[in-house]
Amino acid sequence: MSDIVVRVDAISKRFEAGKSSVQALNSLSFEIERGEVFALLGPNGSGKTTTLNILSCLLDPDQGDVEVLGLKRSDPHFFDKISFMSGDSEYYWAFTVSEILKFYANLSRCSWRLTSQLLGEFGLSQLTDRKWMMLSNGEKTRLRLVQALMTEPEVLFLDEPTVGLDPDISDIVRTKLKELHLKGLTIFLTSHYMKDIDSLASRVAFIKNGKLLEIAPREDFGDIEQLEQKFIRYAREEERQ
Amino acid sequence: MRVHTVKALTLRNIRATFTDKGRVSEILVFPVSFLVIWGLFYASGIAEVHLASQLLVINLIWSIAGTFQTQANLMLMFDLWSREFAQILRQGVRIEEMFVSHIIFSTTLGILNLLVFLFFIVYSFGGGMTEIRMFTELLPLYALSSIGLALMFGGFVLYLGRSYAFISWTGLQILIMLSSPFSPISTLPGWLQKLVLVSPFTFVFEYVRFGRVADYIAGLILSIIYLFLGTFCAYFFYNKRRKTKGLMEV
Repeated sequence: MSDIVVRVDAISKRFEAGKSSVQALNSLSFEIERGEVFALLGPNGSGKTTTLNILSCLLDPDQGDVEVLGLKRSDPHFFDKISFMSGDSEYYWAFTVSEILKFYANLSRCSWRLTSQLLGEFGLSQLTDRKWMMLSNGEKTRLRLVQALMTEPEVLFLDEPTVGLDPDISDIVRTKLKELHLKGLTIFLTSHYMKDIDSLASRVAFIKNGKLLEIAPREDFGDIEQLEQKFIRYAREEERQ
Repeated sequence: MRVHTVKALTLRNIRATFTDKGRVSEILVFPVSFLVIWGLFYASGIAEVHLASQLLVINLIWSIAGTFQTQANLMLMFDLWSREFAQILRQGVRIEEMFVSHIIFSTTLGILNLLVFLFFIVYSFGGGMTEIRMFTELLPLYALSSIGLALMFGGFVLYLGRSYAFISWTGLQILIMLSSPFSPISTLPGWLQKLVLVSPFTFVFEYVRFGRVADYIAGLILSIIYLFLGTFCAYFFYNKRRKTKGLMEV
């Protein structure tokens, strides 16, 4: 029997700005099963980040609803077993790695022992006294991942986790995510990098203009080049429309 | 409301403030300059001691009310400018927890500010029980209304965006100028006399001027109204922003 951990049910969102408006999501629905790495793919402005923002309660949908681990967004325990990591999330520039993590550890009441272990695993143990503004992009991404994982989530939401990273660091991040997936972590991923999708995803969904176009197991899309071709085809169809 | 969340946010506010020399200077500059200005004024003997004392108290209340109100909003701005606001909310932190931690921090700073002033008033400027009683009696009035204003202006900034941060200082200054700080209400034109009663600080300055307030309870009720109004504004504008543009990039 399937164990659905994320349920997105007919969510719609329209952004109004003066006289213009954009339909960011149009009755989008999908489900993610426990242990999956679910990748949401689509061109810029297709609604991937809007979906994640609704899931993280930063934005309310106009219609529809979402459920994670059987909990609605209004449930006080909604965030207890989930984590969000965005490739462009920021921390206070003058705080050190250790100050940032201690703050988030206090917020989530999670163990510092696990955090120290994660710092070691992500190669940040020597950087605990370094300020956020002094970290390289790769170090910042690893710190964001440590912060997301220190709460031992059951579901991890990742928005463009390897954006701006060099191939070496991207590979380290992907390897770590694969390990976590093998341990049973459910991952929801948005990315433009086909290599992320190719090496991590177990199921892929394409969206454009906030509508679901196709959803299928990763292997149904062929190899990485075929996956990329499909992406380009969908993106260009959108331009023509 | 979760105590551990409020505690974590408050400790972060303290750490963020006291590890930043610029923020520390910002906190000290107004109290210190008021004390220096008043001290010189008092020492020069160019005005009656009574007038000098009245000016001092008005400036001090201005400064303390400012600390109560603007520090809370500065902490909110600090989250918005650093772009960490969304990241904190993604941990499941609720807006009321964030505001309460900012208010605890700013209120504590405001009270410390007050204690330092009272120390100087008593030990350097020859003040005594009268001044201590005045500040203590007035504390609920300007504390409650300043917290209400902190919530109200915080709500505006959340809805309008961080470039509207000036609202917190400008709003306070407008309200203080609207409170007739330098002349009795009775000297104002009739229409203005009614208008100044809308400001929560009018009662405070009337107290300073006459050593009592005609209707302390009315002042207290007005301060409580500001607190409720501020709470409503904070929730209303936060939810409106979340429904329309979202809280990702405030």
